[in-house]
Amino acid sequence: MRSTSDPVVDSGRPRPGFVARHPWVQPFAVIAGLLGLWETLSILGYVDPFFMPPPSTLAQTFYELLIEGFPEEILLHNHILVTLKRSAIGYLIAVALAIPIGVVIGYFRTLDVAARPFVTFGRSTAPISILPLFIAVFDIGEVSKVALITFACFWATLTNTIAGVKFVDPVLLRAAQSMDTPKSRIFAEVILPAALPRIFAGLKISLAIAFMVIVAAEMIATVFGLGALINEARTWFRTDITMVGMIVIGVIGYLASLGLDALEKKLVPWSYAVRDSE
Amino acid sequence: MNQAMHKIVIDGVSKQFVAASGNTVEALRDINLSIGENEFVCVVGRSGCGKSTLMNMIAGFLKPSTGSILVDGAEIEGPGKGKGVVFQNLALFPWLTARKNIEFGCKQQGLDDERRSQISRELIDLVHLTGFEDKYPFELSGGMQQRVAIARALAIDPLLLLMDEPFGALDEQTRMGMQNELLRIWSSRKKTVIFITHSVAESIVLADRIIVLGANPGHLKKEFKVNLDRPRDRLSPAFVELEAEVQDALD
Repeated sequence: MRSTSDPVVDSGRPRPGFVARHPWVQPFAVIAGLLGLWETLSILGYVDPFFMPPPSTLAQTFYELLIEGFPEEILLHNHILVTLKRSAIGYLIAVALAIPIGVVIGYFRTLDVAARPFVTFGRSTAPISILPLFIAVFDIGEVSKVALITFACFWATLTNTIAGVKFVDPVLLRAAQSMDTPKSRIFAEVILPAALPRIFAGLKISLAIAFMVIVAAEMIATVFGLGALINEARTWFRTDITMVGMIVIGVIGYLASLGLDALEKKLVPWSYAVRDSE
Repeated sequence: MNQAMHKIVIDGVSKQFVAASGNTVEALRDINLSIGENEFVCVVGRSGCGKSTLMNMIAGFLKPSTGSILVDGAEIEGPGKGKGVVFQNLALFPWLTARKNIEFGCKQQGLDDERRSQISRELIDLVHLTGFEDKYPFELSGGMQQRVAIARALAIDPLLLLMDEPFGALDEQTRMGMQNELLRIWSSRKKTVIFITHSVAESIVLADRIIVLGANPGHLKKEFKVNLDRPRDRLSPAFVELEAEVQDALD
């Protein structure tokens, strides 16, 4: 039955093309093309391989880092694990603080007004400028590194949580009131769920920031972590290692944000639709 | 129906707002109106005539500046308590499925799960949403969202149903379908309905009585009783004649 009815069902729309059916093809092609161009320019001598090592060298370096390690024979996966641990702890502490504080500030108008200069000040402070202070306060070990990531990640989630709680559509509150929602339940039933999409937006920005500051956090007094790897490579003029370190951080950041996207789709499936309609 | 007994009495109601400029704007002036039990009243008027302000006061979201609104003899103290509202932009909770939206009011009233799902099942059936009850609002068409909003307002079994241009955003075809469904629902569960619209034809299709509001400031301009049998034929001479009269009162 089906096969005979298929031509009739055909809507006249062309079948989606190869690229539409395989959305990864385009970015993959772009990356492959850029790498090919880079390699070619390097072979032809237009790019100095010392400052800008070609992809083939980077692949080799990557392999070396995996089995021989650098510096002091620290293997790449150890650097990755150390960096992941620091950023995860710093990020999670930031988020665990920013969401409840943001909820409270967003909920009480007077608190929001009072906190505004402080929040703006904190948000505009370059995280790296605060590192010396953290080293003085927390000493030069792990705590100051994690604290820097926490500080950097804190503000984006905070401001987005405040905004999410503050700008709940008033008509949703009226709808809840018209259905006899007790005052004490309005927050849990309406304000918090309505704020979730914005809170998630904050979580994503904070995550991106975590990977932006990790290199700075790991620059001082450690040989472990991708930031330390990059910094050590600099002192030895190993641009190839620096670039591999950058690429690894980029890939980890990309994968982490994919994970957060998946989590968002699962926890707030309606969030995308709400944003599209706004 | 006992015409001497009135469900809602709007007595000398005026409403002023203070605008951002500091000037006082008069939205409504001296509204006197009585609405009977199970009556279907449509309020029509141009934009800015205070239709929504009037509805928001009856719903309990706003207080009249002067005068009073009584429901069954008692002054309105706030929203809720048997006053169901269907909002102009629906105000469905986007994070809840159709079913959970419909059950929201029952949950707030503390009904147990079994009672809740019984009510939502009946209403989903009544508004023809079977098969879509576990979809989120964004997965539903405009007409379906509309029906969720109506079912949600009905779930608390309100004595009074307030509807603020609920069909305004729908295309003509869907809109006529929704009008018929609303009349079907209203006749199966008798309620007092106050329905705001700017469409004269819609008001004649639906209402027992049409209230025409004038603007600047909003005031009661004219009233029409609609003595036509339902379902009403939009092309019948009586319909067309009344349409012209109401339109005339509006202009």
